[in-house]
Amino acid sequence: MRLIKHITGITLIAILLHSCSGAPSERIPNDSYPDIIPDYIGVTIPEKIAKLTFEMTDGSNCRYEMERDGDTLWYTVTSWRKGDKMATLHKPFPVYISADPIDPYIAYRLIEPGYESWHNIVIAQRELASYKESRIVSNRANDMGCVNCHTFDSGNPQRMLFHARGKGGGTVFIDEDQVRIINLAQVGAQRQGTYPAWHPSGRYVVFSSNSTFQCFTVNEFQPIEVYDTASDIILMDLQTDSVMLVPQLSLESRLETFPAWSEDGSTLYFCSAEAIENVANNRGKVHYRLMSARFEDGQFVGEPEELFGDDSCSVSFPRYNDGYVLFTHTAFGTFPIWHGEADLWMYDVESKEAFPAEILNSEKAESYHSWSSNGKWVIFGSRRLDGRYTRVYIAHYKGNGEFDKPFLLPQKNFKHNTLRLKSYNIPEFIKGEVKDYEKAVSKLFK
Amino acid sequence: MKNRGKYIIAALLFAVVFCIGALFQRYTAIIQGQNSLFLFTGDYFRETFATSWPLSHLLESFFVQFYEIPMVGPLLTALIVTLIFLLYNFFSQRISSPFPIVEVFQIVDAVALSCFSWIYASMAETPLILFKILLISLGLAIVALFAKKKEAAKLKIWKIAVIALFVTGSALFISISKDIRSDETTAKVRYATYKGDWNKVLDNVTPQSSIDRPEMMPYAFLAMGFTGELGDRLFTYPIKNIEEFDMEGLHTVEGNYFNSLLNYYMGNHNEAIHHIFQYSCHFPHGMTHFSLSQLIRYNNSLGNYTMVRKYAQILSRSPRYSSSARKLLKRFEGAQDSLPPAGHLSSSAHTTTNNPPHDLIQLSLAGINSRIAQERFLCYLMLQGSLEYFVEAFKIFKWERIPRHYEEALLLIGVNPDEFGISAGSQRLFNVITSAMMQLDMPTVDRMAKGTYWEYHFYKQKEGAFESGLDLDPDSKL
Repeated sequence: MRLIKHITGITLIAILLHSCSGAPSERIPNDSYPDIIPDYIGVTIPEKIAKLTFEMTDGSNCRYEMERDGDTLWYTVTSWRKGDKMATLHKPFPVYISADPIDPYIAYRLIEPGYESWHNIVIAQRELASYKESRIVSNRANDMGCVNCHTFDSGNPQRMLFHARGKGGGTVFIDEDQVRIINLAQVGAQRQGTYPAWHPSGRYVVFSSNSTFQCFTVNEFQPIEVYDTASDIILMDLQTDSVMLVPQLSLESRLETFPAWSEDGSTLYFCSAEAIENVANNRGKVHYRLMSARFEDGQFVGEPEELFGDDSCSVSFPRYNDGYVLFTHTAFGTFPIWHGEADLWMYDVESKEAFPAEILNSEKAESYHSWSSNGKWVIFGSRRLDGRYTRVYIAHYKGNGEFDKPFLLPQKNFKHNTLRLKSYNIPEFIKGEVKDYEKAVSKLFK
Repeated sequence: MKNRGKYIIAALLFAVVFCIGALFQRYTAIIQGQNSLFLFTGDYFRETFATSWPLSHLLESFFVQFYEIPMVGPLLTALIVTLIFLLYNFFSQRISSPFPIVEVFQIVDAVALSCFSWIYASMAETPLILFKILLISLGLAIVALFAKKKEAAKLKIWKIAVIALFVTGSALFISISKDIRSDETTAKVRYATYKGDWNKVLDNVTPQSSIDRPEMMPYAFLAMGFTGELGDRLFTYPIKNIEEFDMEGLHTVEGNYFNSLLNYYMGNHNEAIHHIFQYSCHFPHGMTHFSLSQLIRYNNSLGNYTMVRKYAQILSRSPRYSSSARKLLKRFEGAQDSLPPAGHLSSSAHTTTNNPPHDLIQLSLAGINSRIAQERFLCYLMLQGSLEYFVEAFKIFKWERIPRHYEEALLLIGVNPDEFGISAGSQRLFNVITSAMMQLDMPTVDRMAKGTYWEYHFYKQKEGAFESGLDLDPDSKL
């Protein structure tokens, strides 16, 4: 009886082991890299990043062994299909580890990639060294109104602002435990704030104030065009809570938007286009230029200078780092995430030339981007996986306007990228963990 | 009897709840199933556990996903109501109450609880309450497991009478409730529209029923676009304003549901996707099973197979749809998307706004022409009173037989009836109305114009909305 029990036990364990591994014991070496998704072959990652997970593009099973050789991780992948008698042993592929440190957290907004409405919106944060994602604030705090445009004071997790729309809405300013809301439309210039940029001194915030509309195309590859009919730049002094319109950046004949500061805060980069009539029908004629304006002692001085652009392209989201301005380049318009042709470009401030950051781009839209606090990493949103749901990519900056191959933000399982029904919006680096402000913000709306 | 009694009551309760559900809430259950979402994904569970009563939500979503299968909704509802009865009865049989009156009402209390839960769930948008009470009853039953069983009270005649009263009362309430019947009609019409069962839509949205529920008329007008009756029957419905012709700008579940289907049927798949996203926003996870399946349908029509695969993979995480989603994934494996040619820009693409006639022109300019779109365009022009444009548009299309209302509009603007081939009947009727009008015989005008475009047009004239109208010049061609 005991013998029967033993035999049954051993058989069960054997069956279990077989079904767990599943891989044929025999492997045929193959001279090519495995075709994996996401494409992590030859990417550069920081030292402190969650484990990269991937799967075979054709859906076959795979397992891998990883070996570290100095600053390179070598992944050896074995793949097989169900029922195969032999597995394929692929050529090991490298993943390079950069010595440049990266900020430990990123923040982003999770929202359905719909058009006019939404259900849940969460401004979330993710620890880069793990898969841990947590809430900073959600729109449950403001009765399901919109929460958007989160911005940190130089990546400081204790100092941030975001807009909370809806009844009693405004711009929420967080300074450690102090949480307050100001409706910018009711003070100073009486303009609503849209895209913000926090001055490196921490004292000022500039906002563009945009009147934004949408039109919908008939069975076009790009289903929607988001456009502005008016936009100006306003400046807020956080010491006095005063808000003023910046006259030279608020011309009636032009649309000024997407402000961004240089590292030292002496220059504001922004985008500006000629204001035209009937924008929906003439949207192909809307071309934003990259501009700059000098800022001294809390004031803009002189006339703004046009840096780059012509009637063949449009510039969005300028972000300065190390003598270069990284921006999104589209054929026209001001909302690149819906533009399949949107790519990331670099503008060399010294040579005054612009060029595409080829290695970062894909056939689908690349859009919002920001630099890490040390300027060694860039994070950006791209729709390259499926064309609609924006996912987050990170790339190492080599210097001289060049980048290493970007990598998709690792998830516990690659399928998470497919199954998540939300887009990642406005990815930003942060220097530490942000507290959960849900309760504090809810109180502002009671 | 005392032991079998509760099982007989349970069986009766099950039978009554099932029959009433099948007769009066069959389509409501199907729509509830469409509006649900249950996915084995991390995000889904995280979001569910962030709500109050997460377990009830989870249980509800799990069961309600199957309501989409005809008759399964009433069946499961009956099962849950019966379970509530049995579990609560189990509890009340074992736990002693300090109040003797409670003991007296043993078994009746369980029937009352299940009946009230049933009524409440029938009137609510979702049957969530049933699952909350089921969980509470389950909890109580578990607690009661540790108590000693009391001697069961005898099922007296008065108890049987009260139980019968509760059950029949609940059944009567649900079957005659105006709100429940109205919701069922809406659900039936919605489902028929989704399935393209136009005759069923027209059977349920009639000119008579539209007097009480004008908001349902857009479904009938959409259906008539397919049955080819729009030009003949539009004004037999009590339409008083152009806004009643469609649900444009209606950002409700109903409006978004209708608009997504309308745009799909007219071939504007981008707008169908737009509205299905809007529709999804009304639900707890910002998505429903229906939205996912429609997104697959619309993206397939657009040739966007990457999105078809994505949504199919998501649906494969739902127990209800996993097998069909897997089949779909197999079917679309390796299918290449229709991609824009290199250098293609959307800047010159036609765009839609919130102006339906303008949107229909844009659709036509984009090369998407359908009979239903053409006829809807003509109807908009009639409803706007833009009869000169109507004549111009009418000339573009070819007609084997001119629909009645179009003849009425053409006669009203004063075209040469022979040139347009307007029927003698319409001409005769128009002449009668014209002469009655000239004699200021308004009762005759009202009687003869009933159910015609003229009735609508005169009404709008009286309202001051239309400037142009019937040409009463005796020298006119007519």
